Amino acid sequence: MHDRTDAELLAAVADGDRDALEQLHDRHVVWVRLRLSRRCSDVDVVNEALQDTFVAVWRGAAKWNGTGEPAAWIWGIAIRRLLGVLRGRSRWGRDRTYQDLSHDVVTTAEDVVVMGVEHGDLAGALRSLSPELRAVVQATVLDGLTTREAGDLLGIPAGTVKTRMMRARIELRGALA
Amino acid sequence: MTDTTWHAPADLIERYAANPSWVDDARAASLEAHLVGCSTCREALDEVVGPDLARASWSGLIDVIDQPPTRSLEWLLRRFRVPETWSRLLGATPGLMFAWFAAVAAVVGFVVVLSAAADATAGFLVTAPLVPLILVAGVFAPVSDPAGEAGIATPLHGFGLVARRAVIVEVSAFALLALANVALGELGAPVAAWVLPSLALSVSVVALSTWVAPEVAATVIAGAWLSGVVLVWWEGGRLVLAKSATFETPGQVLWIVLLVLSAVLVVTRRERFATMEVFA
Repeated sequence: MHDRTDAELLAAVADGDRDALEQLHDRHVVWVRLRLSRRCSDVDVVNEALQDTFVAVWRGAAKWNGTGEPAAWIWGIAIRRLLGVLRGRSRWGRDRTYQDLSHDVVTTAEDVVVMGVEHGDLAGALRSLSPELRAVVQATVLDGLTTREAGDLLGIPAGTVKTRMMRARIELRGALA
Repeated sequence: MTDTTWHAPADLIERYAANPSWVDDARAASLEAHLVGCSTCREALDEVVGPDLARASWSGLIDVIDQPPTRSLEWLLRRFRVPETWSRLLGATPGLMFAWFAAVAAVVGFVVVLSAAADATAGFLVTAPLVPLILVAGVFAPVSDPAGEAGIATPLHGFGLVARRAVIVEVSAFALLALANVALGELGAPVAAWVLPSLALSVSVVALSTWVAPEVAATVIAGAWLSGVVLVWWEGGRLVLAKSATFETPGQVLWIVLLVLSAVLVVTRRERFATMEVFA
């Protein structure tokens, strides 16, 4: 019996197959957790969002429309759960925001050389963006949030998200030209 | 054409596994985008991280999943932050009907209490609008409730979903209120006078929910209504219905205006509902 694909597992979860959920969970919990923790340094928030994500997968597997990667669908749920948990907590006065990332990006001399070789100018171009612009690029382009959701996450109006995206594009084009 | 044989280098995976923030934005973004589509690299990442994370997460998860489904009275109580031990106990009674009857019983209870100080008509007219108001706020799940659909609802469906649910809640509430109205017997005043205020208030709760949390919106509006009623109606230690232009024609016009204004706000701000969670 072959290992089921993610799509098959998701279909089985929609039918209430708990073993399928366990397999799907085991395949995806690690990378989802790491990706979430790179956006929020609060361990409790991440754990809550992570658990909510898989509960939502369990209860809502039937809503997957069958196209694209199940992993992408799962990430879409996870990032929005993170948004929800952050929003819920900040409303009651605890200030936890998306920008509260750990700033311990350690860059050794070796890394700099390696990155220059592998990625050409892109890494440098991204690094040259201000943190605000980079955050907007990450939220919209990489995490697939809408401008409104990105605004909610970063605590800025949607209009500001759009203007920052435009500026980021202009700066990246300039840096890569 | 993409190179389908690229896989993440082992050192990148190890560093990312040790602490994702130690990887700079560009490489992390590249790795994260890749992991979505590559099971080989996900497995490599799992190897490095080890099985403990998955085990711990799963055992926490099954505790949640294996709980009996939340009963409707329980979610009503949890919405207003009643501690889980109590809400579980009280919510053990089955069915959505209980919640509805509880709401109506509250209305009747209020009427009994208020009729000692005022007339029953006034009591009913004061409390009737509260019922749909509170219930429509309950259409939105608490932010931390995993039964919500936030991750699954798309922007295209957010408003439609909320509108549909809200209409069902409103219609049911109004039907029950009408029944209660009839059951309470002779209420001399224009009894349907509560319809417009109730409608206007509950739609304004939905409109206000596009700015603040639904619970806050409901509390603010209910509070404004009750204090407004007391300010306008209270006289010599009783509620005096005769004082109330709110229920006569000039007042009803005001409610129509509020209703239209709230409806316009809801429709123009409807994309806000895409990121809100709706009770499943």
